[in-house]
Order: sequence, then C-alpha cells, then structure tokens
Amino acid sequence: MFNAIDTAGTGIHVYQTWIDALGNNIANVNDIAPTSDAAFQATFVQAQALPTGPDGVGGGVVITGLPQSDAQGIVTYDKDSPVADAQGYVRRPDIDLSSQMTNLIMAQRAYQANATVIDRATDVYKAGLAINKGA
Amino acid sequence: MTNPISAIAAIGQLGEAAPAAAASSAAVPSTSGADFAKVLGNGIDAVQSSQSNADQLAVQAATGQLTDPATYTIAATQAQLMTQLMTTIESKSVDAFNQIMGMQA
Repeated sequence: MFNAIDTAGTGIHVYQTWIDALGNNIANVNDIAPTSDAAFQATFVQAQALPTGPDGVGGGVVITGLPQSDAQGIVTYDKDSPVADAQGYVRRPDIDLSSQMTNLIMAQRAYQANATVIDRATDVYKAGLAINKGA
Repeated sequence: MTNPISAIAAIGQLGEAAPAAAASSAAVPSTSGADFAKVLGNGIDAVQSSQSNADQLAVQAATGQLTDPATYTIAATQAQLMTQLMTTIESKSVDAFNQIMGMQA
C-alpha cells in the first residue's frame, strides 16, 4: 500500500548511497600510494529499475553493484614523497574532482526530488482519506 | 454500490469479505457482521505492524544504527497514513451503522 512512498523510498536509498560513495571518493581524492600498491579506487554506484508491479507501474530503483575504478591510478613523478619509488614515482587516484562534484549535485537534487515525491504523495493520500470528511 | 467499502480490502487484503460492511445496501444476505469485524481486525493488525516497524526504526535512528535516516521518516509517514486510513474506515463504518439504526426514528 502507498506505492508512491515505497517507490520514492527506493530512490532515496540509491541516492543516499551515491552521496556516501561520492563523499568517500572526494575524501580520498589526494591519497598517494607507492607504485608497488594499488591506487585508491573510486566507487561507482550501479543501479537499475525494479520490475513492473501488478499495477503495471515500475517499483522504483535498486542498487545492483558498487564497481571500483582502475587500481592503476595515475602514476605521477613526485620524488619528495615519502612513498615514492626509486625512480621517484607515486600513484594518485584517477578521480576527476569536478565530475565528482557534478555527480554530487545530481545526487543531491535527485534525493530532494524523491523526498518531494514522498511529501506530495503523502498530501495526495491524505486528500483521499479526507474525501467527504465534512459530511 | 460497494465501491467505497473496498478501501477496507486495502488494509485487510481480503477483498472478498469487504461487502460485509455494505450491509447498508441490504443486497448481500450471505455475509454476516463477523466478516467485517475480521477484516477490520486484519487491517488493525497491519496498522499495528507498520507502527512497530516505525518504532524499531526510530530506536535505530536514535542510537545511530541507521545508515539511511530516510528509512525511518518513510516508515513513520506510512504508519501515520495507515493509522489515518484505519480511523477513517472505522468512523465511516460507525456512521453507516448509526444511520441504519436511526432509520426507525
């Protein structure tokens, strides 16, 4: 019952996870690893639509996986780094901060949109329950 | 005629017993009052479970175990709506009963 709320709830969950993942990526954007180790790998959120319910409308969205970016990272020359190898190279994560920020705005707006759907749907259901209440 | 009562099926998920509440239409002699009580009881059970679910999530939110705080607010909204639906159906049913009882006057 109250399908719109459940459906928007799945969206809220997905975007919450996306914001969490972006927060982790941005927090680690300057991590430096020795070339013998893997660079920090950015987390992506993979999602797909839920199957159509009995009313013919889809049931929302679900997370299908959290793939990681390339462990190769970007090999940079930084001979002063304490973890630099003999040739003076280190690994930086292959994260584009601007695209992370853009995704963060998208995730924020989408989260807000889903929260608004819940608010509106609640108003609608309440209007339905208030039918003929004055009589 | 029985359409308004199908809302009871929504909380009880027992669509077939719903006409029992439509005793006012006097067209369903095969059902008894006990059916409506059962349907309403099932509906109240559903409301109860949604409320206890929201209560559990409230405790988890307060103790910081909830990774996704919206889970709680969504469950609380659903519990609120289900409670409103239940009380609406209850008051409509009592209204219908009182109206039948008032026919003699």
